[in-house]
Parts: sequence; structure tokens; C-alpha cells
Amino acid sequence: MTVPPTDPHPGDVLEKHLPALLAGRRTLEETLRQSPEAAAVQAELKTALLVNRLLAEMPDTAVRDLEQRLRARAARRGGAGRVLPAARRLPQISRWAAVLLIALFVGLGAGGGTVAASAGSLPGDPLYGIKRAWEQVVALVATLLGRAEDMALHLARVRFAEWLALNTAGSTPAPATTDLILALENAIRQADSTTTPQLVTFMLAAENALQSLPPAAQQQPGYDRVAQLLQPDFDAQGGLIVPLPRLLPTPAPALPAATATLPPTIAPTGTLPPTGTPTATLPPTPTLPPPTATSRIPATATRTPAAPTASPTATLPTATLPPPTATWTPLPLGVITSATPVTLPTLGPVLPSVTPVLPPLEVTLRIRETQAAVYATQTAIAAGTGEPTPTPDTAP
Amino acid sequence: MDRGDERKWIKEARRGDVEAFAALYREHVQAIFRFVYHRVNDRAQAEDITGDVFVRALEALPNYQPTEAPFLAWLYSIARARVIDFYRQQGRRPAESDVDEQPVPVEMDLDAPLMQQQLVADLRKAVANLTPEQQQVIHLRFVEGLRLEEVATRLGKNANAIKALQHRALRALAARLERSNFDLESTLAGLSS
Repeated sequence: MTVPPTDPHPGDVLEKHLPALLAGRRTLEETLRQSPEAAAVQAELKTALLVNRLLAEMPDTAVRDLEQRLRARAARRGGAGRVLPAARRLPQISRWAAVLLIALFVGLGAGGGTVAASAGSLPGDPLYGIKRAWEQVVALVATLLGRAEDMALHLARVRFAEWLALNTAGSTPAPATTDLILALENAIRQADSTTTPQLVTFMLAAENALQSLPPAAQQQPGYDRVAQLLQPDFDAQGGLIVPLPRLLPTPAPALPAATATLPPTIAPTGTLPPTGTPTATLPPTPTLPPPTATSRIPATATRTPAAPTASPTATLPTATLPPPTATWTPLPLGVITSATPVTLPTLGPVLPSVTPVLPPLEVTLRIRETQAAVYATQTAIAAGTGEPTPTPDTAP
Repeated sequence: MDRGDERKWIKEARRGDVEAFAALYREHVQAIFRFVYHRVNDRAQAEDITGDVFVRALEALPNYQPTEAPFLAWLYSIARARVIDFYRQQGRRPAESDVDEQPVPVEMDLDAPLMQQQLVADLRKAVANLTPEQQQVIHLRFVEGLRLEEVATRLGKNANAIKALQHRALRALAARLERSNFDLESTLAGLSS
């Protein structure tokens, strides 16, 4: 005698489908289509979904934990909403007077002749160069008044507005993206207790504005870096920090082009002590997120050949070096090895032609940058971490 | 917290009063959590993003300019940006149902939350009319998001008993909502569009 199959209990049917429905892995329509027996508990499934969506709560423990973290964060900064790192005050002139003067100076530019006409220009426009030149003048005034951070914030806003306008119009030349990235990095580095809140607010609004860009704009080189910089990142003291660029997933294809430009670079830096092998590690530079990296490294590669040899390196001004970590961090170890042998043979013949003439400061700085890159790469290889370390204080 | 209280808390929080910010946080944390959870469909991610929203609110508070819009609307705008960022990190663009297709000015973003508040109130009222045992299982399973086995452990019953209790609770709640003319279909449609 056979027992007729019994219908499953509605409670079992309900539980069979609830987890996938609540986790969003399947919609109600899909559930009903794929499992006809679910129709018997359709009203219960809908009700469960409704309660879950409208009444879901963060667990009490998580709410309390988060509140503690927020309190601790606020306390580190001296209170909610306050950013406490010591405010800088000029002894001779108040901050507001300084800001007023800068604003007046910007206004002068906007009110007079060609400079005024250039105010609304965008990269690529004929008057854009004038706009940038005037900015340099105002930046100088701001620096003299001790308010470089206000100017940096102003320039970040201007560069972003230009970049957004270009994107909206459907074209963004790479230099505009590079300029924006540099302006954002500068504003973040310079931000003090007064400008940090303004900068954070600007960043949040700007990041929102990114969402309105067409998908094509979001695919352009450098977009990811812009988006990354617009997400405020803080150190333990609550100060804004520049986030390190993310590694590019496929650096290899960029190698050949960079290798071709190397030999002339190596020649003048022949006297660098351990340089033989490591100078050849430059090729990975193009793998840095465009356009930040490409704006610097290729310039080094093409201009250094004009420099005299590096024998007077003892005079190199170490204090003026830019922080190397932000620029060279992404160097991938695998790429370095393949490029090593490229330039070694050229080192020997160049050395005898050393002249005792000191290089101009700009060239010296570029040599120093090259040294820093070499040292950072060497250190990274030695440590086996891929993370370059800062250059030592003693110049070779 | 009425609007007057809220303005007071905001003013004091902007002056650096941690307690005032904590009050604002406690008032709005669940609304922000639900907003995020509804869009990312993952409780753990929703908790992380909610935390991020309030950290950013804390940082940006000095420059927050109170308007006619409630403080919650400002928090929603931060939350929306964080949700979009979540999808960007996942390597995919959010569907329009995940986040609004365009950032909406805070002032224009009021109707949806207010309407939702009314729905929430109606739903809570219907749940409150269930038996205490049914309310318990609804809360643990669908509000706190526990799995069936966890609910069984918490209530000291076996899983089969909880399955049956859960079914009865949902059936009773569905019937109550229907009797009170709660528009289940369009509410669900509104939540997923």
C-alpha cells in the first residue's frame, strides 16, 4: 500500500524561499515563476519582504559600537564638527584680512581687461594661459600673506569646475585631469584647521557631481584617481591626507615605450653609487596612474640628458625633495626585473667626461628625483614588499 | 526630536558638543541604516556604510548650513554618495533601483522619506496588534535579521516550531494590513523602483 504524497507544510515552503528573497538574490517574481508552490504563501512572502525593508534595524550592539567610535573620533578632534590641528595665525595680519586681500586680488583680475576676459576660459581656450598666469600672481600674494591653503582650496575648486565643464561638453584633455589631480593633492596637503571643513564639504559635493557624468567620462584615464582624491581620508589626528594611488592591474604593456627613453637618462647620473642596476628600474614609471605620474617621470627622462654629470652631487639640496612615497609607490616588482639590463653598458664611457660645472637647480632637482626613485625602488626590492621607503638624508 | 530640538542639537554639535552630535546620531542612525540596507541588500555592508556616513557627517558638520530641509535629508545625500561608491568598488554601476539615477538637491528630497515614515508607522501599528510571541519572531527574524536557527536558539524553541510560528505571524500580519487597507502591492513596488 502506497502513501499518497502530502503537500509540504506552508511554514516549510515559506522558509525555503525566504533567505534568498531577503538577501536580494531572487525577486518575488522569480520565486513565483521558478517555484509554483510558493504561490500558496505569496502574501506571507510579500509581508516578510515589506517588514524587512521598512523596519530593518541595525542591531543595538552595532549602534553602540559605532557611537563609541564616533565619540572617540570627535574627541580626538576636540569635539564634533571641530578640526583642531593648531590654527595658524599670522602675527601681522588676521586671517580674514588676508582672505579679503586675496579675494580683492582675484577680483582685480576679474575686473580688468584681458585678465577679466580670461576668467571663464577653459583649458584649450586662447585666453586660458592668461587665466593661469594671473592665478600664479594671486598665489604668490596668498603665500606672502601666509594663506597659501586658502588659495590651494580656491584653485582645487576652479580646476574641478573646469574639468566638470569639459566633461559635460564631452571632451577632457588629459592635462586638465592632471591639473585637477595636482590641485586636489595640493589642497589636501595644505589644508589646515580652517580650510579642512571647507575642503571636505567641497569634496563631498564634488564627489556627488561625479555621479552625473556620462559613463564615457568615468572611463577616462585619471578618473579613478580624481574619484579617490574626492573621498576625504584622515590620519589619526583628524588631518586630511592624500591617499596613495591605487595600483594599476596591468602594468606590463607600458614597458617597451618607457625602456626606449632610458639610455639618455642614465648617462648623466653615472656617478650615483649603486646606480648601475637600479637606474634601470625607471621603466615602470608609466605604470603610475595617468596622468599624475606621466606628467613627471617622462619629463625627467627627456630633460636629464642635457644635464652635466652628477659628480657634484654632494651639493644637492636634500631638503627640497618632494615626498617620494606618493609618486613611486605603485612600482610593481615583477616589471623591474625585466628592465634591469637595459642601460648598464653606457655607464662606463660617460664617466670620464664629467665636468666640474654645477647643474642648474632645476636639473639638479630632477637628478635628485631620479635618485630618490632609484633608492626607493632599491629599498622596495631589498625589503621584498614593493613599498618604497623614503630617501635617506645623506646624499651620495 | 522636533525640528526645534534638532536645530538646537545641530547648532551645539557644530560648536563641538559631542553629546549633541551623539543625539543626532541616535535619532537618525536607523533611518540611514534602512536607506542603505534597502539599496545594498547586505546587512554587514549596510552597517559599514552607515558608519562611514556618520563619520563623514562629523567631519563636514562645521560647513553644514541648516536649511528648511531636515538634517536627515543631508544625511541621505551623504548616504547616497556612499552607496554609489560601494557599487563603484564592486566594479559595477548601480541600477536605478539601487540609487536614484541623479544626485538630487537636498531640498527636493523630502517627500520620499516622509511618505516612508507614514508607511513605517502604519506597519508598526499592525505588528503591535500581533500576539507577543508573533511580535517577537517578526522582530528577531525580519527587523534584526537573524537566521531561523538563531531565532530558535534565542527563543528556546526548535526550528520547526519557529517555522510554524513565523508562518502564523506573517499570515496574521498580512491579514491585518489588508483589513487596514494598507496597499502592500504598491508599497513593495515603490520600494523596488
